[in-house]
Amino acid sequence: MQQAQTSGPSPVRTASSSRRISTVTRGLLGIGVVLLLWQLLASAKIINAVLLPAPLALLFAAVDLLGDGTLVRHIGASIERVLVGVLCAALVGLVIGVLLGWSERLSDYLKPIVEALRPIPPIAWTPLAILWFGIGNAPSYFLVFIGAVFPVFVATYSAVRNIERTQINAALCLGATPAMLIRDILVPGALPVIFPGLRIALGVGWMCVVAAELIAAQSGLGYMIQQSRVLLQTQNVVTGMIAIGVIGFAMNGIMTIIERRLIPWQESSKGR
Amino acid sequence: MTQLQVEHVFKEFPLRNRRGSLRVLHDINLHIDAGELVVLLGPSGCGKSTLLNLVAGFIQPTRGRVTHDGQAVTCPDRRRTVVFQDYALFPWMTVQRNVEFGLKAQGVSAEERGRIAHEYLALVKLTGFEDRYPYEISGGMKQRAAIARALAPKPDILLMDEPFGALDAQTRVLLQEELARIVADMHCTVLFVTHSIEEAVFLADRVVVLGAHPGRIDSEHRVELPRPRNAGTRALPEFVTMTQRLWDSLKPTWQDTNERAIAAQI
Repeated sequence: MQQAQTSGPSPVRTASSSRRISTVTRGLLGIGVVLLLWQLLASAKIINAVLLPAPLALLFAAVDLLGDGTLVRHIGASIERVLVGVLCAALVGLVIGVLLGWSERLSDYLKPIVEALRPIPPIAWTPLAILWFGIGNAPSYFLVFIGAVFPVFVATYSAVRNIERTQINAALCLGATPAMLIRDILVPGALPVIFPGLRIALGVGWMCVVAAELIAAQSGLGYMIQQSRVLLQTQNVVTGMIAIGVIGFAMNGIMTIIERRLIPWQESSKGR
Repeated sequence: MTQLQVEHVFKEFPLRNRRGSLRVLHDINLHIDAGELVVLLGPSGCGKSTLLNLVAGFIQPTRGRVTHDGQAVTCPDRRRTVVFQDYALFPWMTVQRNVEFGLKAQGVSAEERGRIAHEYLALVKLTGFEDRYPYEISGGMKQRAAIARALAPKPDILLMDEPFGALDAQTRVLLQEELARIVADMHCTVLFVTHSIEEAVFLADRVVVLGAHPGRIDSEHRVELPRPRNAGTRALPEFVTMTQRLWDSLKPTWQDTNERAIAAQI
């Protein structure tokens, strides 16, 4: 039994990593085929180049936008806004989540308010954001905050609510000091629930920043898309959209890697 | 020498949405001598785990008192470590770090902790699994790790709350034998909670039978089987007769308890 246990994981791991390689290859193949078809349809003039530019045209547009620094500048502006907004949301969401998770009474008072605000889409806050903050960075920070704060709150709240009583008891009967209880039991116990909340918050925040920039900013990817539409530079609109998609994908990937590093004891994080 | 004493303990829990309270334990008197293995035996819902939680210091009695070496038990303490039914290993720590936890709380140096943890992991036959996380090992191995973790800080008394209840029958028998060996080697004092008569007879120096509604002590039985207890013990005629006798005396009340439980569900 011991041998089976010790020799078990390695073949499993190689099997899953070889499957991952082929999964990536398949994904790239899928993208390649779609791009090829798209390009063929565009070259055959079946697709109107003004309504939807061909992949090659997009590539040239991207090279131009990268070359003169426009794209990098807008990406930088958007990322900065997301980070500020999500950071504030994380702080507020964590604090409120811990407080309401901890105190039943406080939760009775405040949970209905939070639950009533939660279904309002962040975009619906845009008019107020502009009224309150004008045009610029502030309304974007605010809208990202609104979008990101609820996922963090919900995750933290349920993490605190679902702390395992027996694990706290186990730590206490082993003589854990209050510092050990927080550092070695409560924080690592809550992390697997809170971290996915942060990852979702970043994703939602990224969507919100683009929405905010469409209306209430003068830089950023959303603004770039909006300006390009006005100038009928459809290739720049689509390039901006692709940049949004790629960066969102990368952000999620980075968060997943951090999650695996930070929470190596989770079965699911290894099986994925 | 009496190490742990429970005197006239009552425990009531307030009822939710209803006035009044539910009496779970009624006038419990119990003493555990140093080096003794006492088993609390009773049907589900008789309050045996509540009693163990009181002894551990996780909860306080409504009336009466629990003392450990003459001092009142008011909070959990590393002199009384607990092995739980669901293991309660810390999933973010390797097996080794789990076992070291109680030592770390005492401020034992990292090097010394490692040495002691290895010793206890060898005792429960988990050498080679130090760096595994709990999710990577089987239920039986988790409970071995939990036993090592509870023993490492050298408690005065080991409290075990249906520790083998979640294991399959074969693993359960193996771990009972392991526990008998460890207890014999280390001369531990143990309070062990179970609803298995065989388990109780196999392990105990003394079986304390609890009745339900409210939980109270029905009877006590000294088990005079020879030590060390091992696989052969189960084949002894004394083991068989004792198990049979306990079952015969308990059957009517347990049946009653079951029917009440069913009636309560309806």
